[in-house]
Amino acid sequence: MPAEAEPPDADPRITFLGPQRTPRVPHVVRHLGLRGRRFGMITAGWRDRETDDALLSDLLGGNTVNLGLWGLMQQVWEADPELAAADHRRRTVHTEMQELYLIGLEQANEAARRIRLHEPRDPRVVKESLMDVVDIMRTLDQRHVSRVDELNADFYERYQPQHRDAVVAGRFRVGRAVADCEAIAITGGHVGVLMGAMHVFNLGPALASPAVPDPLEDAGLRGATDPDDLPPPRLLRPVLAWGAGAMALTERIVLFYDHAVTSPGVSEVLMGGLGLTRGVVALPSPRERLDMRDRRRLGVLARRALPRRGVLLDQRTTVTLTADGRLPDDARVLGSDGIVTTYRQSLLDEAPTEPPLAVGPTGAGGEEVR
Amino acid sequence: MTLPTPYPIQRQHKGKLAINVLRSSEPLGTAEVEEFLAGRDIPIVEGPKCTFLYRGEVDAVAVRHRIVNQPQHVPMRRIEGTDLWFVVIELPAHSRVEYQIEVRVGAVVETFNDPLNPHVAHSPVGSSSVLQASGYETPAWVLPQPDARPGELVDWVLPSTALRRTTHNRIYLPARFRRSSHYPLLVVHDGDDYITYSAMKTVLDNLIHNLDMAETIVVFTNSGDRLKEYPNYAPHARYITRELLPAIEAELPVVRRSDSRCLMGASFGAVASLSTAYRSRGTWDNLLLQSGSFVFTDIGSDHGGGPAFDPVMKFMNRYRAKPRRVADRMYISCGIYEPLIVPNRSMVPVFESTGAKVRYVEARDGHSWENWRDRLRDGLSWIFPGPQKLVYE
Repeated sequence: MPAEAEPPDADPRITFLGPQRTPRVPHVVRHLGLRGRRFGMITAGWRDRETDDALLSDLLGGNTVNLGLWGLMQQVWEADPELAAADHRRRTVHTEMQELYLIGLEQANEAARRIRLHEPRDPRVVKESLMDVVDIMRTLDQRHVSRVDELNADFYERYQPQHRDAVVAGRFRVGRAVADCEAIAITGGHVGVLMGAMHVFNLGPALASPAVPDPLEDAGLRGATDPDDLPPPRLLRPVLAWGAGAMALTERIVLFYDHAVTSPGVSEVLMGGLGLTRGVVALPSPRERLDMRDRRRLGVLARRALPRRGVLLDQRTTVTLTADGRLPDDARVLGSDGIVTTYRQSLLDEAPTEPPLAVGPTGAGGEEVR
Repeated sequence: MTLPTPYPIQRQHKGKLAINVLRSSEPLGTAEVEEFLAGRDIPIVEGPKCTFLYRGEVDAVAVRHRIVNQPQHVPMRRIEGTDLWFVVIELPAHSRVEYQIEVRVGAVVETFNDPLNPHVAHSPVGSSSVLQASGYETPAWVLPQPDARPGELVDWVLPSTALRRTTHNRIYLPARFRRSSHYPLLVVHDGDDYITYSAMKTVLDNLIHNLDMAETIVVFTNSGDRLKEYPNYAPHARYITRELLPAIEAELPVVRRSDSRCLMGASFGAVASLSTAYRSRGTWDNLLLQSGSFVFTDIGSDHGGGPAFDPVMKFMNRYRAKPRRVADRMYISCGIYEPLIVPNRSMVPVFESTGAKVRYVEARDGHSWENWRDRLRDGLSWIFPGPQKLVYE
C-alpha cells in the first residue's frame, strides 16, 4: 500500500512498517519527504544491543541520534537503587497479574472449546454461548488493562520517578535530543522493555502534545468522555515505527503468537500503549506469528479488539495513519469474521452482535484453542 | 499437569505389503531380492506395519528391541528359495524404536546393527539401529540452522572437595553473551553425553535463536562414576550446590535466585537432579527430569533393578512415604516403550501433591538419547521460556 506523500512538517503522521529484514526504510523515508532530515532513533527494544544501530542509521540517511533510552535506564537503576528495586517489584507484580489473567483467558478458551464440541440441538443457543465467552474475554482484557494502569499509577505516585534526580536528568537529555530531531524512528524488539523505557523518559509528551481538553467536561458540565473517543495527542514530528515500536504507539498492546512451544496460545493484552493512535491494534509479522488459516481464531482476536482494528504489518507493508491517528481506508486489517479486509470494509461490515464463530464439532480445534 | 500426546490417527496401508508382493512373485531368486531391496528404506514402513529384513545364509535371525511388555526377541522367517529373512511388526504412529539384529549360525549367536538400515543412534554404551515408524520426523530444531548464532562451549575444570576429584565440565555461553547481562543457570548431568548424543548444543543454539528459550548459561557436568555419584549421593549434592554453584556465581553473571536455576538429567542423572534439589532445599526451583530411574517398591525391597538401584529405591521409598516440595516447577518426560514408564507415571501425582507445578510428557520412544533430545524443546522452553511472546521484529 503506498504511503501518502505530504509535506512532513505541516501535518506530522505516524507511519507503520512491517519487519525490516529486507529494509524498506530508505524507500519510505524518501517517499515521505524525510530524506536528509535528522532522525531520533529509539532502539530500546533491542535492550543491551541498543547501540548496534549503525545499519539503521545508514538506512535513515546518516543524520541520526540514538536516544539511548535503554542505556539511560540502566544508569537510572544504578544511580537510584530504591527506584530500581521498586520498579523491579512493579514488574514482578505485573508478571503475576499477567499470569493470573492468562489463567482466566485459558478457562474461557477451554469453555469455548467445550461449547464448540457440543452437538447443537439449536445452533442459535450455541452461538450465543460462544458470544458470551468472547464477552468474558473482552471483560478480562479490559480489567487487566485497568489494573495494570492502576499498578503503574501507584508506582508513579508512590515513588515519584519524575522528581528523582537520575530520571529528571535523563528526561532532560532525552527531551533535548528529541527537540533537535525532525523525525523519530522506533524499531521493534522487546515491547515490555521498550514501553518501560518510553514511560520512564516520558516519550509520550515528547512525541505529541496532549489532546485538547474538553472545557465542558473540565467545568463539570459534561460527564467524562471515553478516552477512546477523544482526539489523539497532536503529533509533533513524523514517526516511523515497526514491530514493538508500532505496538508501543497504539492504545493497547496485544501479545500474540500462535506457534509457541508451550504457552497456551491465547492472545493477551499486555498493557495500554502510548495512545498516539485511535482505534488501532498493531499486529506485526502476522504471517509468522498467527495461524492465518484459522479464521475462527483470528475472528476472536479481532472481536476482542473491537472497536479497535488489528492492522496487519507484514514484510512490505507501509501504513501512514491519518492526521487524527486513525487507519487509512485501505489499510489491511483483520475482519471480525477472521478474514483479512480493508479498514474501510471492516467498518462497513461491522456487526458487533454476531460472532464469527461456526458451531458444532470440528477438527480445527477452535479460535484460540490448540 | 499430564499432557495428552497428540498423535494423529495413523493411515492404514492399502493393498498388499511389499514383502507379500515379493513372496507371491515367481520366479523368486537372488535377482528378484536384489531388485526388491534396491533403493528401499529398510525397515519398510507401510502404515503401522514395519517389515524388518535381513539377508544371509544363517540358521536363525531375530529382531531384538527393548519395547516394554512386548516380546523383545522377535524371530524372522526365511523366504523360501532366497537368503532373505523378514518379520512384520506393528508399531503405532510416531514411534521411534532402537533395535538390533540377532543372528545364529550353529551355536554362535551374534547381535549387531541392522546392515540394511543406515540410521543409527549412538549412546555411551554403543549404538543401535533406529526404526522411525510412520509419522515420526526428526525435529528441524535438532539440526544446525544456518541463521542461528552459535553459542560457545568452554571447558571448565573445578576441583571438588566433596567428591575428592577434579571435575571436568563444559560451560555453554549463549551467542552474544555479555557480562553486563544476567542469565538463568541450567546444570546438566551427563553433560558430555547430552552434547554428543542429544545434540544439546545445537538445540540450545536453535531454541535461543528462535526465542523459544531464554538466553541461558548451561553447565554440562560429568560424573566420575555415575552409578555411585548419581543415586542420592550426599557428596554429589554438596558438590553441585556448595561448590559448583558458588564457583559459577563468582565467575559468571547468573541470576542469583532459585527460580532462575534448574537441574537436569536423564535416567540416573534425573535421580541425581531430584536428590540434589531435595538435599538443597530452596536452591533449585526448577527440575527437568527425563526418564528418571525412579525405582521404588510398595512392599519389600525387591525392585528388580540390580544393586545399582538399591540407593535409588531407598531414596524413592522414603520420598514417597513423606513427599515434600523439592522444586516449584518440574518438567518430566518418559518414553512409553521403556520399563521406567510405570515409576515415572506413578511419581507425577506424588510430585503434584507437594504443590509443584508439573508438566509431564510421554513419547512413543524408549530409554534413549534421541528420545531425550526430542523432548528438549518442550522442556527447556517451559522451564526457561524465551521472550517470543514479547519480542516483535
